[in-house]
Amino acid sequence: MEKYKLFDAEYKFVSIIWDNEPINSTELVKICAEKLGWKKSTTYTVLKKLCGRGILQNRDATVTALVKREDVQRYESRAVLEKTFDGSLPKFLTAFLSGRKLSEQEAEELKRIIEEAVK
Amino acid sequence: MSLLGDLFMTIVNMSITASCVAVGVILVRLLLKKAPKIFSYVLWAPVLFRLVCPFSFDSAFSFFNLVSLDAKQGSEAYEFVSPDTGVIQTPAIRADIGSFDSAANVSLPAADPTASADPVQIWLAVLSLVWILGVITLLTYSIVSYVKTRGKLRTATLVEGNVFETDAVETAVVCGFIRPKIYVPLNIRDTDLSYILEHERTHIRRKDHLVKPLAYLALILHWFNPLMWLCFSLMSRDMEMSCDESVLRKLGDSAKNGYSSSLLSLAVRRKGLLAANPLAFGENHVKTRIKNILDFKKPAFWGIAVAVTAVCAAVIAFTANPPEKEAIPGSIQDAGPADAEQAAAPPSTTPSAPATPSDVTPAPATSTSHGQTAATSTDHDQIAAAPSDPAPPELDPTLYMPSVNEGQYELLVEVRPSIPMHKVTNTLLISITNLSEEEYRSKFLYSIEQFDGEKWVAIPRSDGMLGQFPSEYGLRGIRPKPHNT
Repeated sequence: MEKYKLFDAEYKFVSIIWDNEPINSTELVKICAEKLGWKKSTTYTVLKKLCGRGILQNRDATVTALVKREDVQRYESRAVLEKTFDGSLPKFLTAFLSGRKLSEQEAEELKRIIEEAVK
Repeated sequence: MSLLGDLFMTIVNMSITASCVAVGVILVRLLLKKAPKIFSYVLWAPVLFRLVCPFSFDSAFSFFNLVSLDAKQGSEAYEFVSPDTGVIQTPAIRADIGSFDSAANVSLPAADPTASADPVQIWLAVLSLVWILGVITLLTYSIVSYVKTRGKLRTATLVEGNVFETDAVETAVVCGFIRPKIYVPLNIRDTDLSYILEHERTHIRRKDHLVKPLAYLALILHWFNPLMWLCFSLMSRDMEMSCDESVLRKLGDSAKNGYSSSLLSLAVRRKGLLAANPLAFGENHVKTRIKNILDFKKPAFWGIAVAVTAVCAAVIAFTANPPEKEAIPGSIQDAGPADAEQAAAPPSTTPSAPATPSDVTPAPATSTSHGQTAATSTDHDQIAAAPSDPAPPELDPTLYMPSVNEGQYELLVEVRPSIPMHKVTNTLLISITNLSEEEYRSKFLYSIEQFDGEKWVAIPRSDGMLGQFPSEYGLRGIRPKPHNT
């Protein structure tokens, strides 16, 4: 699971690839320079590192992601749950919803998600 | 004396000068406690100047007129410890052939301190070695940690303009020299962010990101001086506080609370990642700073005027050297104690001096008799008063080498009145540009030897080890060491 642990900069970088994949690496350098303020060498260093970890793939100068956005998000949210709320979902929800009203629509959606998870 | 030893001596002397100034600055700083901190900050400039620059200008307003320092002083560096401390004698080859001797002698090391039996010289060599090792260690450490930090900050992502955010820092940091960038931690509240950015931008506008590394380099050179570590810490604090004040002047009093709570929230996040790296901008001294911010009032005009005047005066006083009080260098009348020493010198010179360089002016007719009597103490006053004595010689323009920085040089010494020329070997380190004869004598002359007709005899210094050479020995000029063939 540690594989999905991404630093902030890495997450932003992979996000760009999720949004644009498959993407040519030259194109990627251009986008990173614009959105992240990175130099060409920085982009390639991070790309190489993440390829080595099996998160990205760079074949014939075309970059694709090997992991899904949902996988990383699931890992991140579980990590937060474990670290801050002792792995307790109710505790998390209590903290998250305290002093905040849900809209009718949000409540319906949550109910649906919970029912699906129980099945 | 070795190059390293000379360098170390220069540093030690600058360190002592800077320490005196630092004590003065700390005292004046106490008086300026209530004034805006920019004044305290500016006061550190003379200390930095003294730490890195061995030269200064002369002024009657010099702070050093107040403290009577027991130091030899030329128009550039104060000299508390003479570079020739404890050097006994320069090795010399004597073949009774003047031209050969001079060529051979310049190839010899100038009184190697480690070979000398004098413990002072050995200690000096050891200490300079320790010093340079310390400098190298600290320098390497700083460069490595700077490069590491740069590497960590490389993947920081752009927020806007020169502002980047990253999870590699816990507090706001300015990094880079030519195009400095501001790095902020992730997830900062917007209100905090605006204050932090204003603070760091103020730093960049005032070039603090250059001043601090420069001061740190000076600190590395003077690492053995604990007072300088204190100064660096105080200077950093004054820098931060005056930056805070400058931000508040811009944002107005209403920002006081918000600004100090932002400071506090960033202080809490701090984990000390960059604490050891003086090249990055950490937020430090938070408690004192918050106090200073809450106390901050826009000062009254007259208060500013008084502070400006006081600080200007202090800066000039701390930076300037006192004007020289010494008499005309080399004048025979001055040489009271020198004459006594001279009497102890071996029976004197004869007209059959070694090979006389062709450009020497012929000795006056009376020279022979003077030369013979010079050795007897009874005749000193007459010699001094003798109207036939030649005037102190001018530096020969053909021999004088302006703007020479280092290397081995041959110093040509004219002995008045009998022997026209003498040769002295010497290793010079410091720039010898525009030095007076007096300065050459006190700083660069290691030994003078005189040919008494049969052998070379060392001429003692006028006042023991640290003294100068008797001023009968006029200095004629200096030229690069000839290649010995």
